[in-house]
Amino acid sequence: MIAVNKRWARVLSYLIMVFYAALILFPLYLMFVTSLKDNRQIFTKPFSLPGPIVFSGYVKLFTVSQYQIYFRNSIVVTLISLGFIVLLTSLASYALAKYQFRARILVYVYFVAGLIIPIRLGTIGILKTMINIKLFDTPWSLIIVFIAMGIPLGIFILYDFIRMIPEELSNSARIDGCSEHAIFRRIIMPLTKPALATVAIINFIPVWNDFWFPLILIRSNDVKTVPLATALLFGQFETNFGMVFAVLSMASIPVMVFYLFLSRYFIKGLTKGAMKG
Amino acid sequence: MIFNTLWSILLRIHTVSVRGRLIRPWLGDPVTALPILAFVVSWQFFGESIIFYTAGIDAIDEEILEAARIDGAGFFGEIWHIILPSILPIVGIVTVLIFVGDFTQFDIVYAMSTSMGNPGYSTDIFGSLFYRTAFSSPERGGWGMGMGATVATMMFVFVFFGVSLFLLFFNKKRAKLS
Repeated sequence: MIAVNKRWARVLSYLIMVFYAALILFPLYLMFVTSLKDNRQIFTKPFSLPGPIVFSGYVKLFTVSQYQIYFRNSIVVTLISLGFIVLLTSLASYALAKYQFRARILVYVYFVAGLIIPIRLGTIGILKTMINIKLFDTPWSLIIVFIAMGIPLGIFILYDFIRMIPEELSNSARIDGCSEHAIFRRIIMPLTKPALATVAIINFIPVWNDFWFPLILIRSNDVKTVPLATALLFGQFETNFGMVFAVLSMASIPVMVFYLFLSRYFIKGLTKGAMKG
Repeated sequence: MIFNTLWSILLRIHTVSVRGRLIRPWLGDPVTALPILAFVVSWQFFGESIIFYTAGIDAIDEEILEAARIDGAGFFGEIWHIILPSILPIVGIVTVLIFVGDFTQFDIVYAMSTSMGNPGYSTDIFGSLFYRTAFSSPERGGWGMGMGATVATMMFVFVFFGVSLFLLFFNKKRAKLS
């Protein structure tokens, strides 16, 4: 980092950063404030603080709409998918980065091509497959798709990261009689922790927020995820906006907590791996 | 923003539509609907892009900047001659990711203007067209899975050519610079 010396330059850069932060935080503020109002307040004074604070949105979520089911589904699906994504991509990247075998680069390109070819184009194929293997309308269909969705970016980040771990480390472990599997578990895994956190966090957002695949693959009410259930809150004749924003506030809490927990690793992970152009 | 694409975007939608009721129908007018939509969608990629760029600029060797400054490079000279060339690959990655993300955009369009691309198909993009043809009932514009697959194939062709063009462009630029 270079210290910014000139006073006007410092003032200007702070102004720009404050403006940007406001731009980012304003919708969050608006979301939270709106969740504490009723419909009349929302439309008469949309930007002000709530006059009387109304908690009915939050209460209705769990009494009328049974959001505990949707939250449970979302959490289960997200956690299982993330676990598999981290496990599979770290194993695959380890093999790709540390072992020589034929068509190694080809396999790598095959995985990473998923970054460029959007998975949504295969939706019809996915739907038909899911119906054929009798997974349609179950959380497992979502989990499988989300794992596939996370693999390209995961391998893209982890491959470079693992490749930069010096070969001498693994070799000395080999001389000491360490098995290949133990090398992965005892040396590679601990050293790539920041990158693993990066993969988890970068995939958490699209998986948690995904609307498209639940919309296609889920029919029955008790397997719906939060984004899908939220879309149904927009009624044909009347929408309880306080309730909608209460869901949105609740749904963004896990994301923020997750991000705050892992952000320490996150930045480190991105700067070290994958970014070597 | 970065950790909150869909939700905060949904929120944005509401501010826009509330303002629309007060001032003018931003989303109801075929002329303004698409630009507004583009603005909202562009928002989604702000945070992600900034993270990528920060990581890239952080990775630039301090000594190179030092050397440039000794040779008398100004603030803008530094940006133009040192920083921009070194993060060019990242500009390429970000461009391609955003291109692909935008081209298959669906969630925000669906939330803001339904799968029919209201008003009057003016905000109908590939994502919503694909959903409508493949998964809607016939009276709402569905043509069945076959037609949906055709739309998806066309999308793939466009995305593939677009990405190839971008990659070609950035590789050429990089070759010229180095």
